[in-house]
Amino acid sequence: MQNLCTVAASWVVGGSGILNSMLANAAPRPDAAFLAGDADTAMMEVLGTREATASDQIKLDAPLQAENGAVVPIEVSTILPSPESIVVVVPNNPTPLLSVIETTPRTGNYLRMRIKMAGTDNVMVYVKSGGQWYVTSQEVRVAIGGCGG
Amino acid sequence: MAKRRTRLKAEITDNGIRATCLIKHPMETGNRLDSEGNKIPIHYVKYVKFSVNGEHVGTLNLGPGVSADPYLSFDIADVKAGDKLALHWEDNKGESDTVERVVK
Repeated sequence: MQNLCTVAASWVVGGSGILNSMLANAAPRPDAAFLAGDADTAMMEVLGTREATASDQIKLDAPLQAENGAVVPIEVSTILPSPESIVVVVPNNPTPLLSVIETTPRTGNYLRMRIKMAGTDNVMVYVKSGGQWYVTSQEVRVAIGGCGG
Repeated sequence: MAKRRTRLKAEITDNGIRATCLIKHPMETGNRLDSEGNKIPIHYVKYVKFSVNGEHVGTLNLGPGVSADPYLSFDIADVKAGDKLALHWEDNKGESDTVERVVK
């Protein structure tokens, strides 16, 4: 199914270059980690370690208070040299792993997204640079949780 | 394959572009209940890939905890006007979309 979709998509835009580049970069996606119910399992799978150095070279912009946990905007920028991967985790969410970003030398310095938060919690952002994980976090106070159920 | 809309724009920055996309997608966590008390099945965008002139520049793997209608911005260096920016995403049910823009 995946191949069919990729081929169809590539046909629509009429470029085989796009198809090739997408197949070439088929790094395995940590599917299980995205569905893991506890942060520790997800983190071990994605980071492969529990060790991360707190760094002020990652800047995380998130609201101090969010009225609606269903939409919490976050902004991440880093001046760490050649970031390889960026991981966003909210430890107490039903599925704590939110995003794993695989970068190339042309990307990874700036990212913005909107996330769901089940309640007041820390937003943790891990950045891999030079084979080392660095982390920064910020607490967001959530008035109404946004994960349903 | 259901038709889903994807919007993509590129703003020129100091050393490249800021690509911003809006994907119309429910991003169901699988935890929510419908009006009859049945679980709404999990349904979320698994990844968004960006390429410039056919060269892959980054993958955003997403989990179900990303807000409905994912709205993402991503900086890409060394992109100039006239370059072709493309985005491809796929969700856990195999739905996907590809869009392409010429950077202006």
